[in-house]
Amino acid sequence: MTSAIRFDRVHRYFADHAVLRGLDFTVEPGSIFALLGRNGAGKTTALRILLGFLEPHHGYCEILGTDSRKLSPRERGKIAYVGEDHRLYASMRVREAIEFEAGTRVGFRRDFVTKAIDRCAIPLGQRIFQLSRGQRAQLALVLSVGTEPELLIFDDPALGLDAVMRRELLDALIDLLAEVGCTVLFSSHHLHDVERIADRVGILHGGQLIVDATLDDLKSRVQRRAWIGTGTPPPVAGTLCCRRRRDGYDLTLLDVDATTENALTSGGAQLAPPSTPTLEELFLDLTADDRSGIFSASPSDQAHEASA
Amino acid sequence: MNPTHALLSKDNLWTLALTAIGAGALLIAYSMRGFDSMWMFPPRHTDELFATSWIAGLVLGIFAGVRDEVTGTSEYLFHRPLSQARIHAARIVNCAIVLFAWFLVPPIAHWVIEFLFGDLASFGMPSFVLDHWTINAVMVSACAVGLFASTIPTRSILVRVLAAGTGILVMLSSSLLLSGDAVTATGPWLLVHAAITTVFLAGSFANVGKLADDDRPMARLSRVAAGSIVALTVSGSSVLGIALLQEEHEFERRQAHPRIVQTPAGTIHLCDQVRVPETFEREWLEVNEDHVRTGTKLPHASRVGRVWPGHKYGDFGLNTPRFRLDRRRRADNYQAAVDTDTGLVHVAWSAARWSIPDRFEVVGRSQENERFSDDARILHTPDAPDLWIVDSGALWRLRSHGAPRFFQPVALPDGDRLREHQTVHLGDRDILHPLGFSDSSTVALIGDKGVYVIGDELRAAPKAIRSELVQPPSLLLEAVDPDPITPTIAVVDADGEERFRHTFELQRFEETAHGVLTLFWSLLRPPAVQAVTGSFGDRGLATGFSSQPFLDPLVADRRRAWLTFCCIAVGLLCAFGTHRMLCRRDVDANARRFWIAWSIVLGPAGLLSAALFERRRAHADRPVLEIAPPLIRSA
Repeated sequence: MTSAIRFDRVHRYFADHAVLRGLDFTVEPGSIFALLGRNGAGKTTALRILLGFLEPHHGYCEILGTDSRKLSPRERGKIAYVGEDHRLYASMRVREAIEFEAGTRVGFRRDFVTKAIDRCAIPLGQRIFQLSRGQRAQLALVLSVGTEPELLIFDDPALGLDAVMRRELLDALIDLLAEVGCTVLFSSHHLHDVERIADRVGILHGGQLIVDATLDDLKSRVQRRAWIGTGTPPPVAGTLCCRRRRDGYDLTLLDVDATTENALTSGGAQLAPPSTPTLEELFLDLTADDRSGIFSASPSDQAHEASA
Repeated sequence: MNPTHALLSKDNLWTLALTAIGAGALLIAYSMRGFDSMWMFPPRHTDELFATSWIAGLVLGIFAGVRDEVTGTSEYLFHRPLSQARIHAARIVNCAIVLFAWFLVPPIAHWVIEFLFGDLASFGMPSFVLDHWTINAVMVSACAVGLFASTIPTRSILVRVLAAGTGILVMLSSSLLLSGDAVTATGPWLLVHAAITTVFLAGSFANVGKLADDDRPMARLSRVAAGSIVALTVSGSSVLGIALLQEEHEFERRQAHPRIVQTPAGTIHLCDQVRVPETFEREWLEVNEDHVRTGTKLPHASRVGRVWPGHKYGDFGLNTPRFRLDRRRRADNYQAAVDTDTGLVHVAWSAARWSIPDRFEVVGRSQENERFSDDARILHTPDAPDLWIVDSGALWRLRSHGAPRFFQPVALPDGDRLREHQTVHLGDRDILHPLGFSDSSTVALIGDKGVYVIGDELRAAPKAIRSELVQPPSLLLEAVDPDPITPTIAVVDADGEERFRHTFELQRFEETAHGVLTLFWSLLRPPAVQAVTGSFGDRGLATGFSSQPFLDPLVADRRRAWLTFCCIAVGLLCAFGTHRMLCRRDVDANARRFWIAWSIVLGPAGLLSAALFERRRAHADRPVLEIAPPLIRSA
C-alpha cells in the first residue's frame, strides 16, 4: 500500500544551519500522526516542504504518491492545510470566507461547513479580524475539511489558545475526524491533546526523528525506573535518559528485559518498580537539555565549567 | 461562484479602496491644470497627470503583487486546487478593473463638475479625453512593471527595487516620447506601452507559484525574466549616469579650449580670455594652432566684434532636435497658445472660478476656419488687450471686445510682408512713456518695407526702437566635424566663404584630462550598444551626450573603432570576472552562462547585476549528513 506521506532523507538548511538532517518517516493512510518537537526543531519546515512551499536541499517528499514539488491543483484539492497562524482573509466576513472556499475548492460542502460553524457558535456575519483567536482557529479547521480531503495537515492548530479554547478546538477536530475519516499529520506542543487523538508520534530533535512509534508501542516498551545505588548507573542498552535525583538516578528505559535489570542491579544497586511515563515525560526526557532554558547558565559559562 | 469570481471577491475591499484613492489622486492631478482646461486644451504637457498616472499604476501593481505576501496569506491562497497562473490571472483582472475605473471615473467626475459649476460652453472638444487616455496608458505599463517587480521570488528588497526601477526608465523614455512629435502619432506611443505591458506581464507569470527562498537558487524562468530586467535597469541607470559625467567633462573641456574671436579689423583668431592680475578686467591673449599663447594681446573684449565662447553645437543648428517641444506656440509675452492642429487659440482665462490660476480659454478661430501654420506666433503687449498673430508674413488680430471672436487679417502698409519680429528691450529710456507701455520692452514687427510696433493699433516703429533691433550676424560658425572631444569648427561669411577653420585637438593638460576622462567613461558603456552605435549611429548622434544618452557620440558615425573594440574587450573581461565570481559562489552552469551572456552584452553592468542577483547563500553546497536511526521506532 502506498504511504500517504513519505519523507525520504530530507535535508533542509537555512543559511549554514541544518534544520532537517535527513528526516525520514512515512505516514500510513488513515492514521493520525503527530509530529512533535521543541521550538525550532523543524516541524513547520517539514510541513512546508511537504506542501511544496519550500524545497529540500537533499532528499524528497511524497504526498499521496506525488513528489511534493510537483503537486498539481487536483492533488492539492485532496489535501487540507491549516497553518499555525490560521491565516484567512481578515477583512472577509465568515459568510464570505465560506463562499470564497466554495468558489475555489471542488466539492466544497457548504451545508456541512455552515452547520459545523454554527456548532462552534461563530456568527456568520462577523468579520474574521473581529473573531477571537480560538474562533479563527475553529473556522480555519472547519473550512479546511469542507471538501472531504484525503489528507489533513495541521501545523500546531492550537498554538496560542487557552486551555478552554484548545479543548473546544480539539473536540471540533475529533468530531470532524469522526465524520471525515482521513489521514492526519499534525504538529503540536500540547502533548495531552496528542495523546487523545494521535495513533503515532514522531519526535523531531536536532533535525532528526528520534521517535517514530505508535502510542501503544511507547506505553508498552518505555518505562521509568528509579535507580538507587552508589556512583552512577552502569551503561546499559536501551537507556533513553538518565537524570540525577537526590538519592540516585531516574532512568527512562526502552525494552527492559531481565538482562538489563540484572546489569542495573549489579553491585547492590536497587531498581524501583517500573512506571509508564506520559508522553510529556518521555518528550522531556528525550529532548530537554539539563542546561537549556532561559534561566540556565550561558553557553560561555558552561564552557568555563567544562574546562574547569 | 466560479473560481475567478471568488478570487476577485476576496479583494473587493482593497479594489474599492485603491480605486477611490487613485481616482482622487488623478482628479487632483487634472485639477492642477484647471478643471475646464481638461476639456479645451490638449493635454500634451500635463506632467502632473503623467506622473500621477505612472505612480498610481506602479503602486497598484506592487500592491497587487505583494498583498498576500505582506498579509501572510500566500500559502493559504496557494494551497487550493487552482493553478498558480489562474490565481495570478485573477490578480491581473483585479488590477484591470481598478485601471478601468481610473480611466473612466476622473473624466466623468470632471465633466460633472464642469456641468454643475463651470461653463459648459467651453465643453468644445470632448475628443480630448482620448488624449488623456493616451497619457494614462502609462499607468497600465507601470502597473505591469510593479506587478512583475513585486512577484519576483526573492527576499532581496534591492532586486525588487531595481526591477521596479525599470519603471523609472520607462517613464523617462516615455516622457521623451510624450514631449515630441513622436506622440503626435498616438499609435507608436500606445504600441510602446502595450509592448512594455506584455513583456512585464509575461515576466510576472514566470514568477507565479514560486515562494521566495534565500537558500535555493531562483527558478530558471524567474531568473531569466527578473535577471534580465535587473540587468537592463542597472545598465540603463549606469548609462544615464555615465552620460551625465561625460556631458560634464565635455563642458569643462569646452571651457578649457581657446575661443574664436573676430577683431574689429575683421580678422579671426584663437585666443584665451584671462583675468588681468589684481584687477577685475579681462584681456584676450592670442594662441596658436597648438593652443600655445603667442604673447600677442588682442583688442579689449568690448572692442571685439563677435565672440564665440565655447562650442555648444546645438547653438550652431547642428544638433537637430529629435522632438519638437510642443505643437502649441506660446505667445512671446502673454499666456496664450495656438493649437496648430485645430486652429484654436487659447489664452489665460481671467474669470475667477476655482481659484486655480493657470487656466485657458478658447478665444477665437481664424476666419473661415482657416488653420494657422506651425510657425504662427501669438503676440501681445501688456497695455493693449488685443491679440495678434503673425503667420506666413501676414498679421491677424483678435479684438478683445466685440463679436465674432475671430482673428481678422490686418492690412500692412504698401502690401508689406513681415519677415520676423523681435522683442526690443528699451531699458530705462524715456521712450517708454510716449509709447504708452508700462513695460520696458515691446514687440517690433520687421517687414520688407518697414518696422512696426503693435499697441492699440499697428504703427510704424519710432527710431529708438529701430536702432535697438538686433542685426543678423555677418559671420556664421559651422561645425565641420562635431566630434565631442576634437571638434573642427569653421567660420563662414555671408557668401558662404570659409574664413577660418580649426580642429580643437587635446593640447593642454586640462583639455587632455577632460578628454581622457570622457573616453574612460565610454569604456563602461554596454559593449553591444557601443558596437551598434559605432556601426549604425549617424552624424547627428555625434553632437553631444544629452540628446540621446543611451548612444555614445564618441563612437557614432563610425569614429574611434578602437574605442568600440576596447569596450568589447571590457565586456569580455567582465564576462570572465562574472564567470570567476559565480564559480566562487557555486552557481550552476546554466545561471553562469546566463550572466556571462549579459556581461558580454552589457559589460560592467552585467557583472554588477550578477553580483547583486546571485547570492552565495542560495548556491552554497550543503552536505548530506549521516542519518542516525530513531531511538524508538515501531514497525
